[in-house]
Amino acid sequence: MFAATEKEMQLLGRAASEFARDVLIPERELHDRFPFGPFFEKIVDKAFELDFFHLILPEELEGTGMGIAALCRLLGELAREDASLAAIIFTTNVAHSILLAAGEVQMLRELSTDAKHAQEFLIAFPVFNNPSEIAPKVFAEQTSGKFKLQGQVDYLVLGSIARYGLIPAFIEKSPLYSLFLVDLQKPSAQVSDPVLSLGLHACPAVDVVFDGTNSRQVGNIGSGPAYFETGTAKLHLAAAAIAAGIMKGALQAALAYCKQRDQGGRKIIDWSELQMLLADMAMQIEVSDMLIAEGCRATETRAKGWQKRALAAAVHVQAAAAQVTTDGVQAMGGVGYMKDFGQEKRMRDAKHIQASLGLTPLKKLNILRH
Amino acid sequence: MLTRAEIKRYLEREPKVADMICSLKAISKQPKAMTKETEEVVALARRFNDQVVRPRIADLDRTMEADPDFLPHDFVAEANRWGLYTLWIPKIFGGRGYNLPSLSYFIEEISSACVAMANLIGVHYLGVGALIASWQTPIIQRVFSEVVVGERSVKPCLISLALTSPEAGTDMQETALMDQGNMTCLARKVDGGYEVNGTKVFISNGHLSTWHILIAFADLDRPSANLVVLAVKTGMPGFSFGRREHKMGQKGCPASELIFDDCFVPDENVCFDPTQAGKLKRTPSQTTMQLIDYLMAASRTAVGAFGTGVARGAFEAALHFAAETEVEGKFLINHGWAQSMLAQMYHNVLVSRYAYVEGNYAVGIDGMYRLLQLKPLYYMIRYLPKAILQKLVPELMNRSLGTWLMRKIHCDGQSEEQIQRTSGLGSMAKFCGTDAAVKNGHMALDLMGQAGLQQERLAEKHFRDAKLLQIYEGTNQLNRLNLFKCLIARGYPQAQVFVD
Repeated sequence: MFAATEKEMQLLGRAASEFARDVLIPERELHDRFPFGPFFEKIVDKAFELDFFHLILPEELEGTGMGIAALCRLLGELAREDASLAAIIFTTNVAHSILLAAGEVQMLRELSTDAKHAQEFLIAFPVFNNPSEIAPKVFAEQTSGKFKLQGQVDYLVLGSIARYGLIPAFIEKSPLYSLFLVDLQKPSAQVSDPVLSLGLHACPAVDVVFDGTNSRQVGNIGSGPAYFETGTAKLHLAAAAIAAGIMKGALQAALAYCKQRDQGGRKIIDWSELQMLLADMAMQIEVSDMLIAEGCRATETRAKGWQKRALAAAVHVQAAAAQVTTDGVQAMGGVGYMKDFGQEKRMRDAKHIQASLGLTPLKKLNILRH
Repeated sequence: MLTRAEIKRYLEREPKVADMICSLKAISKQPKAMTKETEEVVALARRFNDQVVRPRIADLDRTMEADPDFLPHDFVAEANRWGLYTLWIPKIFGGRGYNLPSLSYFIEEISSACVAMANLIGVHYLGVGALIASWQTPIIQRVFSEVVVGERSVKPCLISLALTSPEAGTDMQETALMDQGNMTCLARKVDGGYEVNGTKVFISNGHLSTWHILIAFADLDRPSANLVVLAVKTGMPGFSFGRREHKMGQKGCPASELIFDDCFVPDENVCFDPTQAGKLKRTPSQTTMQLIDYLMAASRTAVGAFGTGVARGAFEAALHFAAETEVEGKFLINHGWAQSMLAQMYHNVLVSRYAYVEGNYAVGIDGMYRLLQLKPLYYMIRYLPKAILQKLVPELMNRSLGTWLMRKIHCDGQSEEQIQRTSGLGSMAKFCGTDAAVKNGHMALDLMGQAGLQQERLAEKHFRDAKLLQIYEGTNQLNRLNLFKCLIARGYPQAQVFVD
């Protein structure tokens, strides 16, 4: 695995930016209506063809191995305009990374190398929960050497569009959860309608009830928490990059509006009270860029304590994004609150992505525990 | 001991003690029966939540997601059946006359379940308040009678306030900005009335209302001195509804576009205009600002109650989750850090409630409610047989004498200090409660993680709903500046507000 060069990063950034502008923006409001509007399947496929899903997979698995900084760059550029596609890429990367942490290279090869479309490549995962915090409600029973799953997994992200899901479940005699790969198209896996949720509407999630569903064991029994922690350590930064991208979009939209809106006979950008609000937004964006860059550097060089740095950076950036996007709506007043302008979506999406990989207060405590 | 003069001097020092003891002064002046009445209102709200609001929450939000143009007529009909559109209309105008501060408690209760439905009721009283603020008693009498008839005949008659224009949001809330702004809603004086042209946007309950209290101007070059307030009825020629906004939250309450195209409004529907302004003691521009302050002191305080309710709803969703969910092997409610977060959220609710309660006390002694809460008048209206009341009051209210008397008391009789106190505390209640709503929305989602993201858990709904509260009834930025203007700048002659 190698880190991308600066030139490669620039090319990637430009490609992502153009994709966001030309492909995501035109029907952003329509995509956000899912499940009451269509799912943007063709756009996901197009992103798949451009290798947007392959950045941190090693070359032996037909990935580009460009590393976490490249993934952050990609996700940030996409999320500036529409975070849902970035969240789909993020979720699949989380599942891939956990499988890699579990040493399941062969399983990943089977899943990834023959995939012709995104849906064959995606892996569903409950990416907004850390199963060590809120325990899974799924149990695995071993009969004739096979594992059958019983119970319900809540909010399985991509569960309605991915063929396979990576499911945390308990097995008798192990106090720690294990991980299993499940074919979600099996009749014994009942997939709900998409769950109506706060944001990231085009990155759908479902509840799935398993009733004796066959599954494949991932790694060792009882090692789920270790795989989760190892696999997600650097991906907190990817979630932060999505948050940072959303923030940038929010500031850009707010500035554009404030420069053309008049109140009291002058542009509202000239009101110093509003300038202060916009300045706070800009400051958080600058700080977030620095934090993500340093987190990526520490991660890619395996600097001492890189996991703690990456997590601390991510928690800070995601909290900042939640506030910045809230202020972004405020700067645009009633217009910012309406669906036609994309700004309210950013507020929902930023708060949604903040919940990735577990409860925010516990992520803070985990920094201390590191 | 201090002499009287010394006491007076010390009490005049900022912060003025009169600003600090509104509740203390009001409690001794206000009728005790208001307490029982308020308790009854809270109980009614809780029953209404159980029987009407909560069973509809998920369905209404889902329906609005699927069809953003849906109008919740069934809910309005139910609220009408419960008598909620006349409950706070003063008895002298044919309503049931419950004390107006109790409306805030009611709003908090309903908002803690669903602020969109709270708006479907509460915003009607913004229209009621706007009409009362004009003190044009014959029109008040006529419009309120229709609301009462609408209740009896099961055909709801709601009132909206049409204030915001596409080009003028903040500008509509402050005379210092109006004359520099770009006002576009023109009411031109013609024979027998006014002819109106212009558009209003973001009008809550617009499509559901029968009457619209329209704020326009007779001269767009100097709007602050040319305020025109008109009562426009749905169906009048030249008046039509435009689009309904598609919002992030509060989806159940429509935000409407109102279009006026050569709309003729007869003299009998003119609530206030420059000729009437000329009969008051202040300049027309000062009177416009007084009317804004007079109405907003009450309505912003009520928005503080909306915010308190949403903050409480978010807190209750988080508390419920914490009580039933195990995190790292024990109930979340037993983690010290979670207890601390829940305590902070509870504090946010409590402080917001104190803010709107104090704001209402100020309005009760210095603003819109003061006459209605005078003990002798309150008890006379409460206990006088309805037949006598209905015979006496219309006699007075249908005459210009009624308008003259009420304006003498409420407009000319309100001092600058009373205006500053009620307006400043109204702004304080507004941004205190609505900031708390957004803050608690964030905290609830932080505490609940994945569960909070799902619509059925309500935390995400409170989060989305909360944000609008920081924007309408004057953005919180405008309200902070208004508080500065009313309660802080007066001590500093060099202080200039709205110029930077």
